[in-house]
Amino acid sequence: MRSCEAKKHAVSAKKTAPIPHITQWERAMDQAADKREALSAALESRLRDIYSYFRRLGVDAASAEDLAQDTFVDAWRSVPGLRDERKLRGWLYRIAHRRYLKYKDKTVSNATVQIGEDLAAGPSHNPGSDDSLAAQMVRKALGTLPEKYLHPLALVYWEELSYQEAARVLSLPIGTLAWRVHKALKLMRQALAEEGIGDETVSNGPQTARATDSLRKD
Amino acid sequence: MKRFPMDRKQLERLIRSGKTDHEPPDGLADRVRAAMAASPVTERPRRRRLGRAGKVAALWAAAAAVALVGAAVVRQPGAEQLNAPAGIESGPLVSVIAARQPVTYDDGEPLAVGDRVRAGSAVRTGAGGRVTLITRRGSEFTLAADTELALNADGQSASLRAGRVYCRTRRSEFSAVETPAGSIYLLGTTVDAAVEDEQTVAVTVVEGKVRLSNAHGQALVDSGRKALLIASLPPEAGQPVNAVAETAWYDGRGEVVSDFGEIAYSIRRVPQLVSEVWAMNADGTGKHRVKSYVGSSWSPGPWVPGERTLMVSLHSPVWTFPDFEKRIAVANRGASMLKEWRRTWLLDVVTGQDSVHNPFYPFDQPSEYHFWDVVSSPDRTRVAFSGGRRTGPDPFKDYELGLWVCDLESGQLTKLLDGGWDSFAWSWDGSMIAASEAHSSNEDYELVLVDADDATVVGLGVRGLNATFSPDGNRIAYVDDDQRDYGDGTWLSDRGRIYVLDLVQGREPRLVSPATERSSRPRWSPDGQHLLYRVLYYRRGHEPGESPRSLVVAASDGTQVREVYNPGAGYCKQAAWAPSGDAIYVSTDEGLLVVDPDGSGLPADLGGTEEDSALSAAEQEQTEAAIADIQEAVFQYAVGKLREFEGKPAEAKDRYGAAADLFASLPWKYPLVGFSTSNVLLYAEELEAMAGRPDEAMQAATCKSHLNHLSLLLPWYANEHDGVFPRDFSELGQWTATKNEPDNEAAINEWQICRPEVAAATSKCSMGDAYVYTPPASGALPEVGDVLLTCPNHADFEIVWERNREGRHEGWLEPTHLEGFSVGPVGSLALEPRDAE
Repeated sequence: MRSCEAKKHAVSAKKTAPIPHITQWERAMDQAADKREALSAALESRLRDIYSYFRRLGVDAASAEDLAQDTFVDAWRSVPGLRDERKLRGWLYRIAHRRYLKYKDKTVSNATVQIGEDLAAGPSHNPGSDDSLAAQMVRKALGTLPEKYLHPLALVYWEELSYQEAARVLSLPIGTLAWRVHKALKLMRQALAEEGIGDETVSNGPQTARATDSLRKD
Repeated sequence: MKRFPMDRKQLERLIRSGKTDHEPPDGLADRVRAAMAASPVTERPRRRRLGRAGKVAALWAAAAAVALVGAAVVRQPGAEQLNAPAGIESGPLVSVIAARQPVTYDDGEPLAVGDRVRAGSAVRTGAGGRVTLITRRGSEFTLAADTELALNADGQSASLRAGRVYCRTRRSEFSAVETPAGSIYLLGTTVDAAVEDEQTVAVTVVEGKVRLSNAHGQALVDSGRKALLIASLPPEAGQPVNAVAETAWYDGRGEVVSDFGEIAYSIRRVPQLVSEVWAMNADGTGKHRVKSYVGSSWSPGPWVPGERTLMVSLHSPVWTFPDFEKRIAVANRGASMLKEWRRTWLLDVVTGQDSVHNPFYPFDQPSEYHFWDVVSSPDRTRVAFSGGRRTGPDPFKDYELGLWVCDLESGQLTKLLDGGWDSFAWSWDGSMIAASEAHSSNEDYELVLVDADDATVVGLGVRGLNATFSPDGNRIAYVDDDQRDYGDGTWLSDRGRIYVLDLVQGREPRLVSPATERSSRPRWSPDGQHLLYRVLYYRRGHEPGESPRSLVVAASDGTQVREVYNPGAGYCKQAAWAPSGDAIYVSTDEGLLVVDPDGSGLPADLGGTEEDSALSAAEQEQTEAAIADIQEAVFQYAVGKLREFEGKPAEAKDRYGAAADLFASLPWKYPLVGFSTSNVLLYAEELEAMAGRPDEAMQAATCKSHLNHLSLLLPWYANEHDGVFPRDFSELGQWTATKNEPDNEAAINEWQICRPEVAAATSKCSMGDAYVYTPPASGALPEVGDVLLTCPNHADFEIVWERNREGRHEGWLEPTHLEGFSVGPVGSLALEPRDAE
């Protein structure tokens, strides 16, 4: 049988290929110590990010301290899960976000995020910034968004994460995140319009100052 | 006051201005550092993949644990803590998943599919009855006729008082069966136990090891052995038997009927849009809806052998241009909504859980491969697949074809054969694969057997496709035909004459089908004595449109060929033997039938149509509302597509988003419909992704599709005008208007690209600027390389005239039109990026 011989010959050179990610994962395990070092080195700067993140979401100062601490302890424990040290910042936000969700679960009574709280508590904690009335309005409007849209917006514009990082933090496909940001912006536009922001004074030139001027005149 | 809407950049800047900075209090960093240092660190990844050595070690560890558990149990038979699921005492213990009456429990109440049986009750089957019970963790007990099984109050053991039971327990669930002669301890095992008399119980072990114990001692019985448990004697390790033959009352596999006697069928209330998967018992009772899917499923199945899991292949709905008056956009013909238009789900008909089917689970599909056909081995520890593998950057040169086997425990891939294998089948014991090529490079189309372990190849010296092994593995049935020239080479057809080849005695193959007809899809009867196949009366001189098919059963030696079912004007989708071999299930376009294999008697109708698959009023109401929602979602999607085509990305995104929201809300809005969330959310997420694309990318894609449309329209116009191209877009527009016949549905489907809204949109780029059109000189065909159209906004895109490529656009360039061209070959237009030249 002619063809059979040919096939036998072909089969003799059989190949096997291992599944590639087994070794990758093993290697990642060995690097855990390096990663802890990286985490420790970046602690001060990242702690400020994470603490501010909780505060911006309306968590009170004492709880924000606890949450930040819990975040870093979680991170310390689960360092093997960090695949790439360059992604440390996004990864920390992912852990922080989970901590935040747990915190929200416990404090059930807070049905909505109280971002506008700062308004009553007086001006910002950072005297250097220009905390205009428009900025306060923005926080108030953001506080009215459903959480589904609030978090994408906060992560992208306040925490300055890339779409990819933010999608990982929220465990969403990137397309879904992009859609939610799109929709959130639309909702913000409506909410701000109700507050009187979004007219011509805002759309021209250095907006915020003039917007607040006109509002103050009213 | 006049309002100017903010643009996105301004809004983003405004939102950023709302950000506040907060300094963490002094000392927090030190506290965090201390807390981190104090927290215990365990070097344990959440998801660790073991190498082969690690796997083996883990298996040994598991085996040791099993042995310990076994020993502990013998010392203390009522050990409550052992794998006791939380709340088992209070909750229902087992569900009834298949029942053939008479089946009763406790004080004689009838037991039906879907009932729950609590610990502490007893289940009895009468003459001819049969019932399958399943625990929460998936262990199952099938009771033969005249059997009594009591579920003990401890929630973990059962007492077999009379009759016969087949148990298949999960590794994670311990249970014991107490019998008059002693106890049988089960953990990840499969056992057939039959009470022979008050003192004797016969125990056949199909899988795993089983510990038998009574007052006189204990013994371990290996798989493939049968032991007699006698009350007055110590248990023994038993004698080797053919476990498959011993437990034959339970066995059977099929496409229509599961091993457990359930039949699945699909109901399509709105074809193309929603498919409901229904299941019923083998006798036609207990029809119930298992799951609803968005999409179209022709006929669910096949069943995964040995499981209650069904494969459901679904086609995504298609969309056409939206009908704004009727508010619908779904039709028979059109484009798929999902990028991947066909997907398969694995649906557990008992729990209703489903997942997208990945035959390579637990591994990802190897990415450098491209699959033709993927088939699991009968024990599902390995997967064989035919196809190709990229070996380098050049997609045409660096490519090898072959047949591979993937071991699902180790993830190891082994190449068994070179070449393109069109059909292949595992032997029932998983040791061999019979493979054949429909398009053979050396044109001998030989059927070969290859050893799945060491890749030894044996040619069988015959030509054939679609080989299947007989249940005893000694014979092969296959289809042979004169190879035919299908235009792109000579191929072997899978319809022809059916032969049976004896692998053991090596006789000449026997013809078992009528020599003058074309037959296909041979299926062995469970006893291996008969073959079921379809006959297409192709050569009797029927017109192509009315070539009838019928189902034929023949003895495996080619005698007793008889027609068992003739669908007449209808058709049969699937046919399968009943596990017992005394009936054949036929799924037709009008429901399910049971026919007799000897061709006698009328077929019994099991139903399975929309009429007899009744819903409750509440279910009906939700189903109708859900269908309306899906229709609306498809409509929104189609409008979005139209808006995108018209160059309005923001409106399109809103429509996609609305459709996504509709899909995402289906499961919780209509809980009674039983939507598959994994199926529905696929739509929601793909649409959300479409809505989330940046405007620029959407506009570029739209521009490209406009140019694609024009590259179809321009030569079409030229064909109809003796090779003369339109002078400008208005001429093209006037001509397309004549093609648009709003009242002619066929014409609308056929010439969608001539709809006025489309024609109006295509003359300009999605960003609003008109394309720059340079028609060739009047009456002349363009030269090869002439640029006919450029886009002012997208420098990459242009339409270049190039030579006709064979087969391109032939669907509508009809021969009569081609005659108008006397100057050289008919050209076609191709869209090419400018920098490619």
